[in-house]
Order: sequence, then C-alpha cells, then structure tokens
Amino acid sequence: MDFLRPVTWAEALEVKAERPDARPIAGGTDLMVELNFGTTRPTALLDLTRIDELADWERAGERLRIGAGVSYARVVGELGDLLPGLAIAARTVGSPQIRNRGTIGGNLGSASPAGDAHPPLLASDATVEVESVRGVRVLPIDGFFRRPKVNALAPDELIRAVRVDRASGPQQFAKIGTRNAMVIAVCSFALALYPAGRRVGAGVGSAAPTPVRARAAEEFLSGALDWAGGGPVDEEVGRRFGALVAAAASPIDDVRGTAGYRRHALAVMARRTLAWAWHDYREAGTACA
Amino acid sequence: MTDVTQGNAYVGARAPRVEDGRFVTGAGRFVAGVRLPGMLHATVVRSPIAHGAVTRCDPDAALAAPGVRAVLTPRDAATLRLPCISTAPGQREASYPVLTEEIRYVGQPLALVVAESAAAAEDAADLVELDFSERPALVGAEAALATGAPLLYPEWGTNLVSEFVVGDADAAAAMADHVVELTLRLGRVAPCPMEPRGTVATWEPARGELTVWTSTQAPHLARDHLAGALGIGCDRVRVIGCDVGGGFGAKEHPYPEEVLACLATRRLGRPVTWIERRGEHFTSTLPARDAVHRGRLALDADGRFIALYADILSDLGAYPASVGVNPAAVSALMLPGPYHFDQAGAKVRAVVTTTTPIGSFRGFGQPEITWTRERLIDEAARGLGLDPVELRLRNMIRPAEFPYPSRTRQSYDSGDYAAALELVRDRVAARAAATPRDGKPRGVGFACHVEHTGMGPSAEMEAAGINAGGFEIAVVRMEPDASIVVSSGVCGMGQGIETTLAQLAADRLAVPMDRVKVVFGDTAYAPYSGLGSIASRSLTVGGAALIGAADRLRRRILAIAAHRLEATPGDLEITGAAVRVKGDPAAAITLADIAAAAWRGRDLPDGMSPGLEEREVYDPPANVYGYAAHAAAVAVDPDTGKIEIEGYWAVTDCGVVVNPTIVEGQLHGGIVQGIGMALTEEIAYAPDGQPLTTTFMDYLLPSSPESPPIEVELIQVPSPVTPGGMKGVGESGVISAPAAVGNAVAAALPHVAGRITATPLTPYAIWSVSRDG
Ligand SMILES: Cc1cc2nc3c(=O)[nH]c(=O)nc-3n(C[C@H](O)[C@H](O)[C@H](O)COP(=O)(O)OP(=O)(O)OC[C@H]3O[C@@H](n4cnc5c(N)ncnc54)[C@H](O)[C@@H]3O)c2cc1C
Repeated sequence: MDFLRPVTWAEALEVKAERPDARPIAGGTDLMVELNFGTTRPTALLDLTRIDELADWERAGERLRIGAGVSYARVVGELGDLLPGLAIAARTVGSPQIRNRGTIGGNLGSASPAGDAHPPLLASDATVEVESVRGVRVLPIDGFFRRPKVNALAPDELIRAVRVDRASGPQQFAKIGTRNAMVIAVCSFALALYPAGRRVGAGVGSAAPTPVRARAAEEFLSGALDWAGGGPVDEEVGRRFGALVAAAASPIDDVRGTAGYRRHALAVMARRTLAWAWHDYREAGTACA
Repeated sequence: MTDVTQGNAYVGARAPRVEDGRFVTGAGRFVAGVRLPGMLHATVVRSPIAHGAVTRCDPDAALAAPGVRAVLTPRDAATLRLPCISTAPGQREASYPVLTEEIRYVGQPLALVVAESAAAAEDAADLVELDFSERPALVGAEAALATGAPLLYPEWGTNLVSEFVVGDADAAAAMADHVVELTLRLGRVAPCPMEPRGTVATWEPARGELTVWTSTQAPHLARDHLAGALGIGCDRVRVIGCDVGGGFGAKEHPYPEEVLACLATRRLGRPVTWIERRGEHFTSTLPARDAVHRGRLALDADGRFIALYADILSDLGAYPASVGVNPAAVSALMLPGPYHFDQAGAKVRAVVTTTTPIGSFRGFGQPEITWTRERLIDEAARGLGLDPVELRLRNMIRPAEFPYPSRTRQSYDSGDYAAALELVRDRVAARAAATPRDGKPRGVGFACHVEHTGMGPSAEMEAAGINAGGFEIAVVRMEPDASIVVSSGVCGMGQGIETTLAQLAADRLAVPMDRVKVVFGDTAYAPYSGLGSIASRSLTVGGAALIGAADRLRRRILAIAAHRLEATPGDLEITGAAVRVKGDPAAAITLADIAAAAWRGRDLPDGMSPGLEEREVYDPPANVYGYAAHAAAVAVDPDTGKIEIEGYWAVTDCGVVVNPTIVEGQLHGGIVQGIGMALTEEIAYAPDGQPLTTTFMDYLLPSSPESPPIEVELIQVPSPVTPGGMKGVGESGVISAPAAVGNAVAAALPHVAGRITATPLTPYAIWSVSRDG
C-alpha cells in the first residue's frame, strides 16, 4: 500500500487524477476502522492532513466556507454561534479523541446514513465544494448522498469544503442512541428556522439509505408557524410535523431498533427540536422588542 | 494459639495498591508483551456458518503464502479434547474437541495458520480453502426444545443436555392467597476484559518441556488441562500467568486456541503466540447468562412468602463447555436469596443451540436468579399494594437464625440482611437532589441478594460435579534479611489481591507492608491451586491459608526469639523490626538477626529445623455467604424509552474488610457491569445463526455517561467460618444491579411493570413495552 502525502491542494488534485484508486485519509476515524476490519484494502492512501488550507474555515459576510479538514472539536469551539445546529451535532460525535481527529470532510466522504454532520447541513441548505484537476463543482448537499456510503464524487475528485450561510435563526439537533455516547445513532434529526424567509429546514439521519431532507415537513411547518406573532405552536402542528418527518424516512429493522421505533423516535425528536427552536425564536423576538 | 497476637495496622486500611505502580507506568507484563526469539504468530480460521460440516479443508494455498510455517486443520488435532470443569446430571460428554469438522457455531475454530508475522498469518488465513455442507441453524433456548428443531447431536435424539430439580419441586404448585408468575430473561453478554485472551507457547525439545505464558485466572488448572489435552506430563508443562488485564471468569480455563498454539510449537520447535483480536472475543470467548426463567412467587394474605419456584432454561450454546450447566445450577441453589420461604425450588434444564458455548462470568448464575426473584417480589408488592422494601423486610432471615439452612441446601453463615436493606432505604431517602420537573416518570428500585463465595469445601465440590479441589495453599518465607515472600495459588487479574495478601501477611508478622512481596501465577513456583482466582474466593480461601501460614511463621519466630532471649513466647511481641520482651524494650533481638541465623541453622531451639518458611493448606469447612442490598433511581423518557440512572446505592457485607478502597472498586466495577447488562449489552444472533454484535460499535458496554454516582457502604459481620472473618465480594456488585435497575424502571412505569422482564432495557425495548401496554 502506497502512502502519498501531498503538501498543497493542487498537488493533491494531481495525485488524485493520476491515482484515482488512492483513498483520501483525513482523520482516519472511519477509514482506519475499515482497514482494521479488513473491509477495505486500498492500493494507496492519500493523506490530506498536511494541506493547511483544508483545515481552515473562512467567512465572507453571511457566507461560510468550512474546509474539509476542519475537525469536530473546532466546529464546537469556533462555530457554535455561527452554525449552532452543526455545532450541537458535532458535540455529540464520538468521544473527545474522535472529535479531535474526525472531520466534516471525512463525514461527507464516508456518506454514512448515520453521519451526524449531515442532518444539520441538510437543514441549513449547505453545498459541497468538490474539485479535481478538471475544475470545481458546487453540489447541493441534497443530491450529494447517492446510496448508503456512496456520494457524488467522481473518481478524480476531492472534497474541498462545505459552503453554508451562517444561521439566520434558531437551529437544533437531536439524536437517539442505545447508549449516550460513542454509539451509532438509532436516528437523528436537525431543524433550522429561517425567520426572514419564514421557512424551515429539516434533515433526517440514520433512518433511510442516505441522509434525507424532509421536504413535505418543511413546507407544512413553514406555513403553520405564527412567524409574525410568535404565538405558541399548536400541539396538533407539532404532531403533524413529526408525522411528516417520520414519513420522509424509510428506515430498516436492525439490532438497534425496528423501523417502527425509528419513525416514532423521529417524530418525537422533530416535535422536541421544534419546541426548543421555537422557544429560542420567541425569546429572540422578545429580546429585540 | 494464645501466643499469637496480631498487629492490625493494615487490615481495614486503605493501603495503596502495590500493583498499580507498574500498571500506571506501563510496566505491567502482559502476555502480548512476551517476545521470544524466533517467535511465530498464529491466527485462527473460524467458521462463517452456524451449523454443518467441513467437507473440504485445503491448506495448500495458505501454506504456499509468504512466511507461512504451518496450517493445523482438524485432521492434525483429531484426538485433542479439553475437559469440562463441571458436569451435570445426564450430561453425555465430559470433554469437548479442540478442532472438529462438525460445525455448531459461527466463530468455531477450524484451522490455525502459523506464520512469521501476525500479518502474514492473517493474510494466509484467507487462503485456507473450505467447503461446507450446511444444516439449519438453531437460535434460542425455547426453539431448541420445540418439536422438529434441528438436532445438534442427532445421536442424542434431543437438544436437552441435562434436567434436574433443586430444592422443593412442590413449590411449583404451592397454594396461596396471592401468586405472581413472570417469565424473565437475562440476555447473553460478553465478559469483555480490557486485555483480550492470549498465549505464548514454547516447546524445548532437548528438555522435553513446554512453557506457556497465558492470560489466566487459574495457572494450575490451565497446566493440568493443557498437559492432559496434549498428553504431556504435568511435570513437563509450566504455565506462567502474566499480569492479567481483567478476567471476569472468561480466563478461568484454557481454550482451544491455547492447545493449538502448544500443538504448533511442538510441531515447529519455535515459540508460537496467539493473541485474541477484539472482534474474535464476541464469538470465541465464552459469553454468559442467556437464561429464561419461568418464576412463580406465592404469598399469603399478609405478604408472607410461602413458596418460590423457578423453571430455569439455560442456553448452553454449541456444547456444554468448561462449566456447562453449572451457572444454571448455581441460579437454582441461590434462588431463595435472603428470605424465608416455606418452600423453594427450581427445575433446571439446559439445551444446546448453534451459538458460541456459554461459560463463566462474574456472578455465575446469580444475576439471573436475582433478576427473577427480585422482579417477582416487586410485582407481588405492587399487586398487594405493599411497599416493596417493607415486603422484603417482613420476610428476611434474621441475625439470630444463623447458621441458616436454606431450602436449597445452602448454609448461610452470618449477616444482618435487614440492616443492609434498611440502610440502603435510608440512604435513598436522604438523597439531596430535588426531582427535576421535566415530566419524566421516575422510580426507585431495590434488590437484595446473598452471594455464594469462598468456593469451596473440596468434598462439597465433588458432590456438585466440579472436578477440582477447593482448597488453597500459602507459603510464607522470611528471607535471611527479614523480608517476606508470600506465594499463593490464587492470582492477580486486576482485583488487588497482591495488595490484600500483603496486608494480611504484614499484619500477622507485624512488619511494614513494603517488606512483603507476593508472588503467584507461575506453576513452577506457586503452590497448587485447583481453581485459582474465580468465584469470589481469592481472599477468603487464599487469605485464610495465608493467615494460617503466617501465624505458624510468627510462632516459629517467637519461639526462636524466646530461646535466645530466655523468655517465654507469650511475653514477646514483634515491633519495630525486632522481637521484644513486652515492657522491657531493651531486651530485643532484630528480625534480621533471627532470620540470618535461622537460614544458617544456628541459635535454634532444640529440635527446630533450619529456615523460616511455613506452609498452610486451607480446605474451607464451608462456603461463606456475602450479601447486599442495592437501590437504583431512574428517569425514563416517556417518548423515546431512554432510561437514565440518576442514583445508585449499595450496602454490602463481605465480612472483615481488608481494604475498603479495593472492595469499593470491586463493587463499582461490578455495578457498572450490571448496569450494562440491564440497559445496553447483548450478544444477539440472527435466525440463521449469524452473530449481530461482533464489535464495540454494536455491543455496547456502559461508558461514563451511563455510570451514575454510586454510593457504597460496607457493613461488617465477620464470617465465623473464615480465619480472618472475610467473605467474598468480587461478584457482589454485578448480582443485584440488573434487578435494582429493572425494579426502578418498573416503578417508573407501573402501568406496564409486569412487562419489564427481559434485558437489555434499550430505548427500543422500553418503547415497545409501553406502546403495547
Ligand atoms: C469510536 C468512533 C466513534 C464515532 N462516532 C461518530 C458519531 O458519533 N457520529 C458520526 O457521525 N460519526 C462517528 N464516527 C465516524 C467518524 O468519526 C466520522 O464519520 C468522521 O467525520 C470521519 O472523519 P475522518 O476525518 O476521520 O475521515 P477518514 O476516516 O479520514 O475518511 C472517511 C472517508 O472519507 C474520505 N475522505 C476523507 N476526506 C476526504 C476528502 N477531503 N475528499 C474526499 N474524500 C475524503 C475517505 O477516503 C474515507 O472514505 C465515529 C468513529 C469512531 C471510530
């Protein structure tokens, strides 16, 4: 197995063009597990950790560009105010060791239906910036996940960054696992409110072959909330929203729970995150008034 | 023994653990760190199917791979078998094969590949060509008894291995005002010691000797079994138990992998090592529990316990392995716990299924029966409208009744069971935190148990079908410079026995602890022990032997000093590294002086032989019984089913506490293991016999967020049986923990309490129960 260590992004793209079989490695927290279990035997590893710019994030006005190599620990430490949904999700990932090494780009690279960064990125309309020697593509995150553990990258492409607007309203994330930490989520859910556009974003994890957006739930809730008055959310609205989120999922039965339980739990998380987010929205409104 | 006065500087003190220095500095000597020149590495080829037979096993491609030195297949080991430590009535085989072409579980060893490196061996393992004929899998104990179930051993005509009754069979039908019946299950769990199993074996042809380093709780038992399996004399096999990173019962006997490593080194004349990979643990190291109990508790109108009965069905997996049916037998023997019953009895049945054979794990049948008994009591209390603690107190055995003969032939030695329960109730009542107003249902659950410890009287073990003696031997030597060496047949596996034995010896000989070195684990030097460190026996049995040996040595020292000081031994004391005449500190002789002379054969009383070494064999006259009362406080998320343990209390009596810190550590660890069993841990199989939980991503051990604050309190009623007054405590924590948690969850969800019957209580399980309730 060759170990390739480019020091610049351009060099990395060239190597990837020459050796499309080379597997990128960032934190290694997914890839090393695959290697240990013998489920993967790449002919070459392409180490991306020497490329400084990958591990940085930048801000231009409301636009954020988060390098693929930014770790969960940095998301928690530096992006809590700008992207609270992603930061809450990052806080639930693995253990401190995993959060120090694991990256957003690696989560997208693995494209696991259970990746915790995915629901908040779906809820906040992120795009994925991918690049090859042929040029840059900016893909809406919706279409990025193709099948379980398969994403939209071409063989010669690498993930450069995630582009996302800073939060313009409350964001929330919740996940359920059999254990509190260090566990693959039974299911997860992220919600983002966009008060200016009077709409919501909703992302679902671990409950379908890929992470999915709950479009019908988003549409329903956008129209059902009392944006102007900030009035309380009707219980029925919460229930309906939960039901629509659950309907967006196509979960399976496994050792962690049945499809029925996953749908139920999604509905619960949808209602709860809505209650928290709406509470924040009303507090913010009161503070401004 | 009037001449023996004992110091008490150490017994009861929180002496720092002597073994921890090397552990925390990375200086422990574990088997995976043993490196011998020319050492080869072995990897095991395991069955991917649950049931069937190998129809072709072709090692040629593997043998041709780079670095490969040998491939052992069933043909190479056709006659090799390991013995069962215990056998049950009706059990047809008292041993099991090391390698066989008949497949009865996924993960069963089929071949051993030996190569120059672990990587080469693993690569080549994939090249061993295997064809199989498959038969239908059999998963679940109840399915094993169904008509038309696939038979694992067609020649038996049944999957039933053993069936017997313990105690009062009539308890099943006892008439009473109230009867509660529940079917209760404690799931299959894996011991998961931090250090996996492993071995290094080396055969020296010139000496005709086999030396085996292995991670074991019982070096002599390992030696005897390996020697027997390989047909080598016990005198030609030396087992060196290393530092052991946890055993929990999983390392109490050698496994097929050890035998194969020995076979390989004999074939190749080079050292061979095999180290278990984490993923192998879930299919190759014996798991435990996996019992279904149909329990029945009968009470009179006042809540007096009339009868307790359990129909115990144990899933043994592919064959009765080392301990086979014995955990289920112990479930039956410990059925009554700390309570009076007019009648108590159990029927035990054990079956084979196409899963990994089960074995021994901390608690050994006792968590299962405690789950059953204590869940029944809580449901009875709910049905009668009684406080569950009151109901228990009403039925408890009282201190004046000891020795108390239980309905299942146990003779409880000592204790104050009600005091423990009352104390734990007071602790729960006194808890400071106000209940959060989050709308979550909350409950507190209690559980009590009596623990069978200090195994055991050798004659009683023979009667119970256990093929080992229960005694311990200790040797205590004062070296010529007055330092002390203690050799014991028990051994360290992280539980702190190196420290507590040193405490006992230091007190008996009135020397500072740092003058005492404890050695064990190496069959070339350690005295024989048939069982080693299992069954909460190291300190009770090993410690009692040590006390006897140390007392003898002390008497010998005092006799020598009396001779030299022209005093009577009764007027002497050991203090400040010297023997002194009480009340006349000037009349003294140093221990170093006595020791040096004794080892030169000088200045001894008439007729006394030279040297300062004493030995004691202690075969316990009876088992001793620890006990505990536990309480757990839980909150349940009513929507997701997630359980949070908010508080945990345990009051435990293990007799004289030699080191409270060590006892608390044993209890904390055991309780957290019990919480794991209650909430998250389970080895699951698909209907086709494929294991579903083969990594720590799927098999969920409790981690720090699942570990609540645990308050431990120790009460000390010395055992009248054990010299020194100790009772065992190694397993205590795990025994009541699942039941306390289960009772707390049932208390939080009273409308579905009768359905809280099976572990693990995962969010999904709780949701399922509450939804259909
Ligand atoms: C103990 C443990 C706990 C975990 N807990 C969680 C959890 O709670 N939630 C969760 O979501 N995940 C969890 N994970 C999984 C893992 O940590 C995350 O998916 C993490 O985001 C992976 O990032 P990484 O940098 O380590 O990726 P790597 O392992 O380095 O790579 C992952 C994949 O992405 C590819 N890749 C990496 N970078 C790029 C790039 N720039 N362009 C293209 N492809 C790329 C790699 O080739 C590989 O296929 C856990 C893992 C472990 C071992």
